[in-house]
Amino acid sequence: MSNHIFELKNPVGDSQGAIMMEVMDGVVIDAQKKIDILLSSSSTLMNKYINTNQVTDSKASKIIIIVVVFIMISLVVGGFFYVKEITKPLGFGHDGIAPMSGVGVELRGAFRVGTATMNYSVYTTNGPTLKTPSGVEPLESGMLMFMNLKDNNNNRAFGSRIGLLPFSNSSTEIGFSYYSAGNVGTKGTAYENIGAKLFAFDFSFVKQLPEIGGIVDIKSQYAKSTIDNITYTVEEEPGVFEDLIFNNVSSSYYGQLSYRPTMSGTDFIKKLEFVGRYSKLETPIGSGFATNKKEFSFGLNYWLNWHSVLKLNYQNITGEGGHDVVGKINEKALFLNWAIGF
Amino acid sequence: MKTLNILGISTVVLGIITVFTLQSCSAEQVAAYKNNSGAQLWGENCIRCHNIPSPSSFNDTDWSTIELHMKVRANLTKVQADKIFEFIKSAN
Repeated sequence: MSNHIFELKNPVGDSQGAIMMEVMDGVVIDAQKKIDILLSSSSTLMNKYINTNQVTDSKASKIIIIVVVFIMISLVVGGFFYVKEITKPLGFGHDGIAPMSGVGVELRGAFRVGTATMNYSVYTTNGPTLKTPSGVEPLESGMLMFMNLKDNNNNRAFGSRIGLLPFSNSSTEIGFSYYSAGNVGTKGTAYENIGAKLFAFDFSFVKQLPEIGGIVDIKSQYAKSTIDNITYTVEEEPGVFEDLIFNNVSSSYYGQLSYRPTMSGTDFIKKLEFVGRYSKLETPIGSGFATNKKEFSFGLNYWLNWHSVLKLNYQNITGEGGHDVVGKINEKALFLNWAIGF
Repeated sequence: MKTLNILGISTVVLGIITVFTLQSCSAEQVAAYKNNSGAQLWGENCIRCHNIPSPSSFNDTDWSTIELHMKVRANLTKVQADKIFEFIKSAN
């Protein structure tokens, strides 16, 4: 079975996108069209996957150890926070401090303890790459770059997550995850031996509560990243160099609450969903990517059917610093999004 | 200091796990849990990440494929997955 999986040519994973119109400070600045597949449970894809690998589902269902080419990193709570919201929380996605996915192998499973359920995941991946002064974004030297299809050294990152669903109704889950990469610098450079360690706590509560006539969904996570310190000499202007010395520790957290009045007597109201989120990101003071910002977002979703949704989100990010930003920021954006999953 | 932090965090995590695990191990609770139906497990587990499709949304072959996929993605135990998809196929 494992051999068949290893021969998998086309990884089965998520891609994302949407028809999106972004309005910032009242001015339409961008409109782009993408195709969105929010859930990766495409039966077509999976059938192709099984046929390609000549594995019967009954045989495959007995396998506890699953090895996949493209794995979802368990640092993220299921990775589904963006089903409710259009954007990702601060600290996730582009220039994020935690990985969303990686290339490697993973072993995961679950078992029952009394009426509780515990799940586990251990994996090894190519690991992150350290941005350095010789890279394309020298001012972001010291930042980790995930999603590396190509490895920059011989070192592997190792990670694990343990989750506990303490109640028999599986409504609540708490998780702890740890991720370590001995070397994140490119082989043969001065940064070769720089290492990185990340840990995260996550919490999830999803339950239909008759008292309030609907489904409540709460998700939150705290993540912290620690990278070995080294001096980065960056050429700020041609011929002008500056040493960037900082304590390379970053952290982020978010909390998201959504409510869907599924027990309403009105069909239209049943399909509505209200969502709000707060997130915060802090990156090292003294670095070229120093930032301290927070995000509030509120959204109204309308479920066209069980796997298709219209989403309207308002987002406000305040603070200072960040990607190509010096000084204070106050970004306001309105997003309109249609998403479909299979 | 770092070692103390890691030890502290680990202790708290282990403590929480131990407390919840012990409280969930009484004979009555375990017996009640074992009687959970596929329909109940279906409703409780699937909404953790997505809306619940109708059993008629897919045929039995598709559901078998989805079972394999969701067993992995949702970290379902074998018993949970068997009960859930047995129910879905019976209602399909």
